[in-house]
Amino acid sequence: MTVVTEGGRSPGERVDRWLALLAGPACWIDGGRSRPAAATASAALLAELLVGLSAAVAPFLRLRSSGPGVGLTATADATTPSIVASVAILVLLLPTTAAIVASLTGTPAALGPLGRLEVSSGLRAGALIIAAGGCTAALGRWTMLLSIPGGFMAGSEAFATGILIGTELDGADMWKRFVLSPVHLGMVAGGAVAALAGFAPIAALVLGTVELSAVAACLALGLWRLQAERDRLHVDAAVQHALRQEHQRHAARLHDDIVGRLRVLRARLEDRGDEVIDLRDHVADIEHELRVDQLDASVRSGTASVAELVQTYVRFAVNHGVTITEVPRLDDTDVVLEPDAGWLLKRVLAGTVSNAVTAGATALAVRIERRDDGLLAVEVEDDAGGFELTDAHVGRGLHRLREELGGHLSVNATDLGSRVRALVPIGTAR
Amino acid sequence: MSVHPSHGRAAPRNPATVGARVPRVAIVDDETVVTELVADRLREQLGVDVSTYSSVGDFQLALGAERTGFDIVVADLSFPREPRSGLDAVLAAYLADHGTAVVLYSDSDGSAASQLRDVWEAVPLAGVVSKGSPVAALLETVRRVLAGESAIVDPLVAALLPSQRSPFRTFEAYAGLVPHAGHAKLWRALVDGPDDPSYKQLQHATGLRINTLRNYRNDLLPSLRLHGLDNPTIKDMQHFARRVRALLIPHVRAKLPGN
Repeated sequence: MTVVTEGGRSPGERVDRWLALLAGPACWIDGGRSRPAAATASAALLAELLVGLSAAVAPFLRLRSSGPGVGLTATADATTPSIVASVAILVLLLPTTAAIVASLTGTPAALGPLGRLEVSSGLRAGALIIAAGGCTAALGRWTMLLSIPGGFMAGSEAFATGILIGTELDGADMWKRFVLSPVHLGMVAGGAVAALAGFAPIAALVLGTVELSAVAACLALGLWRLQAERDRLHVDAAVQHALRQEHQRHAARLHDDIVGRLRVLRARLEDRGDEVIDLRDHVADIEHELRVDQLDASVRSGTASVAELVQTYVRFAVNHGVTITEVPRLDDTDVVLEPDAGWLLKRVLAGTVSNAVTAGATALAVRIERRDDGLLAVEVEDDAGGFELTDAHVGRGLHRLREELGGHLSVNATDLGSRVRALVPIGTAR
Repeated sequence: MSVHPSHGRAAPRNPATVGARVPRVAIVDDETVVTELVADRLREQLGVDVSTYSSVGDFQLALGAERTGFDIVVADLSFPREPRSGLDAVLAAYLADHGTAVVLYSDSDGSAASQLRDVWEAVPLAGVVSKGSPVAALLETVRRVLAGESAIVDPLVAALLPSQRSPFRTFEAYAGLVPHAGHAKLWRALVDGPDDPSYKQLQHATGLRINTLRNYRNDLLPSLRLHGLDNPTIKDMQHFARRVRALLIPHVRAKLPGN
């Protein structure tokens, strides 16, 4: 099985399912399925944080305990394995936490170095074994109970991984996978190593195994109920999603119907000749306004592309009888703009094309070039006689826009009209 | 429908060279008012023989029944009231006769924009005209196609189409997305199955193991990148598969004999 990470990297290593489970959630967030609900992932994160931190602190509790109830006294011998165990657990905890946080924010890069932090299967296995060995060595026979949080941590991580894998784990399945998983077996192996090395008695190993199995059994039982609740929430979410989609389909259908009817009306008016030419223009304006409303929604949501913006204003010019002599191709217009950049480009195109149409242009050329410096060079050339930015009627809007563009807007006279050139910062355009 | 084995791209036949007979034009569009208007204008102004079809199914039936075929097919892309899209009509015309000149006459907003690009790159089109343009623009395009021109692009849709067609996105190249039967099962499940399926649901639909499905998805990533999909989710793949269903399904069927 090839492990796939969210960033699209396919390490090419083939590991079995259990090793992938050990490798943790980061290996499974491949986007092949919708992300878990934020609440579910948050709960997993919180549980893991609390339990993991408890587990990391647990060995130190043993150092502080000296009462007869516990029956042990802190010794220098226990200090080193305690520290080793704590560090190992934190090493295990950190990348998993980072992966879950990254999945919540949608992009590992957003978290900086933490979000990019990954952990190999080997490191995780090593950390687990060291943790198990350290805990077993540090904790005495009865204080093994203090390592229960460690079991919870491993179990909750397996649970979170199960959610992210997206397989429908049920309680029995979870029990089987946990007991047979390298997570569990690694801890048992660590305990065995510690026992063989003489750090801890065999009884502690047996007790630890029984204790971890009991934790897993509790988890499995709890999972049954969680699974049912999750299924119910999924059904609710699916119903809500379906309703939203239906609403959007209705809205789109309504829009298409209106535009379609207007198109039919315009086609019929075209058939009647020049006497209704004003009415035809009026209908074209209504159509344009409807399209601009839709475009505004796209710009606002950061989903508008340069192509969409260009198309809207080229259509406006065509509907007013202007011949388009040049239009940029998708090679330069296949860029989705952030809202700020979208508004700027929209205002540049709206201002220049509207000016040209109002001034009676008969031909219009629109040129766009995506530059390497993150700027979009926009050029609109018409044959409408030319104007100055200082012209109160024509140039006022563009004059204001030039200030917002940091002066990167110029108007040059041509033989027949004018050429407006602007540089629009497209920032993090996609 | 059989998949044409050729990977080359035949240029559309020049409708001006059909000899003495009147050129035959088919219009496939469910907006009957516009269809009739365009048909009347074509007959009046260009003197061509026009047949109109308000559904893709009717057009496909006619293609099968016609002996002489059409010189020009003018097709809309959007048919919201039927399961097929204009892409089916365009592909049917192309597969029936690579020499047929196909002119797309379609909306170019929203999802239609991506589909326009898909068709433009998949099949050699004689022209693309936006429905937002005056009807005269369509008549002019048909006139130019009759005169032997090709690849005529309306300024209203130019910004939506690449200047160069990708050789990796031709109809024949879609076979690269279906290397063998397992991938065919995955695509079929994505096209026909429930929205936003989980791997578990895909497992039920295909009979393949989840790990196998994951591997198939991984296999397809390089090919999908050629279609503009960078590390797509299963949901993205499903959206893509449904958008290009007409281009994909013939290759799926070819890999799944008996289906």
